[in-house]
Amino acid sequence: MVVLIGVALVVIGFALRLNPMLVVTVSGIVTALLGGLNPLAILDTFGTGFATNRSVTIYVITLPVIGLLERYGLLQQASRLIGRLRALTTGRLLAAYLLIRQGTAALGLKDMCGPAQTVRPLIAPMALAAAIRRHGELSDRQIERVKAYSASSDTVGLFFGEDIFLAIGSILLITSFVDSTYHLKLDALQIAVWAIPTAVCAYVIHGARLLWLDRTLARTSDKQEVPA
Amino acid sequence: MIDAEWLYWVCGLFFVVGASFSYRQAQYGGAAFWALLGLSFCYSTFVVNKTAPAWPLGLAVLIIAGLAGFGALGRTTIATTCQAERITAANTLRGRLFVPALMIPLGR
Repeated sequence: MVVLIGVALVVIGFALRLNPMLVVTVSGIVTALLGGLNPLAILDTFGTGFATNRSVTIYVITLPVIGLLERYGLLQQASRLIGRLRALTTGRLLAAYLLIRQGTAALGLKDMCGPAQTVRPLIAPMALAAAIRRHGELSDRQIERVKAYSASSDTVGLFFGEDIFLAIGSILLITSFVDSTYHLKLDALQIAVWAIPTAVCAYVIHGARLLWLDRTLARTSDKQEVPA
Repeated sequence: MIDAEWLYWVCGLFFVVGASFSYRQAQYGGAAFWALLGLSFCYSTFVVNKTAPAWPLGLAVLIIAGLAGFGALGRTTIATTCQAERITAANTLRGRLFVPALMIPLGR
């Protein structure tokens, strides 16, 4: 139980808004010491942890490309493209992207889209451009809101789409865990099939929230709404 | 498991190049951070293969966390284009701007 103090440290550190890097590192060291690891073992653990989790940082490879494109007017071109499609509001665009994301994830193509691959270079600039066209200049708060909703359409789509695909880690985890703990024989296909109603609910609920974003933006901006 | 080690080395070299930029701007904290991070990416290959001990990497990770945690990175102004330049560039490049952006998801 004592080793769980590390979790409390994280909560306290974040609540006090201390630098998250320090909070996580210190709580890691404290937890390891309470767990009875010697200093060398702690360093070893940090080292192997870093080495085996490098994949989370792969996305930086795409940053130079995105930076270069933004330098040459990606956002401006996105807004021009959106300008031609007058019926496409921020909410409708994101709801369409949610459908694409969920659909491709359900087919097992879960790495085709993502925050680094599609949201940052394509979806967020287009969503912002659509919002600016409809509501005029946005406040910082509104800009952050549109970006956050763009990211959410990706995350929700992936989370509720991937379980429909059979050969995904989470399904295999569920089957192997339930099989070994409760001595049952779960059919992976059944889990995938019953992920469909959840996925539909997720689409309806989050799609509605995305469409509602248009109203929120209209309410919080000064400019008179331009009818679509 | 697809071997991604070469990609980690590309990442590592990218960070080391970033470190040299920081160094040239006399941002020594930032230079140390990026250089250490880049070298750690390469060194990790040997840790995964169990041909090198993991503890030096752990030490490097703690130093990296300390550098970032105590604000050694500082802030720099980034050389970039202004709004008007971007509109001009977008006028010339037009739809071609989307080609590299679309290649990122398709390349995966």
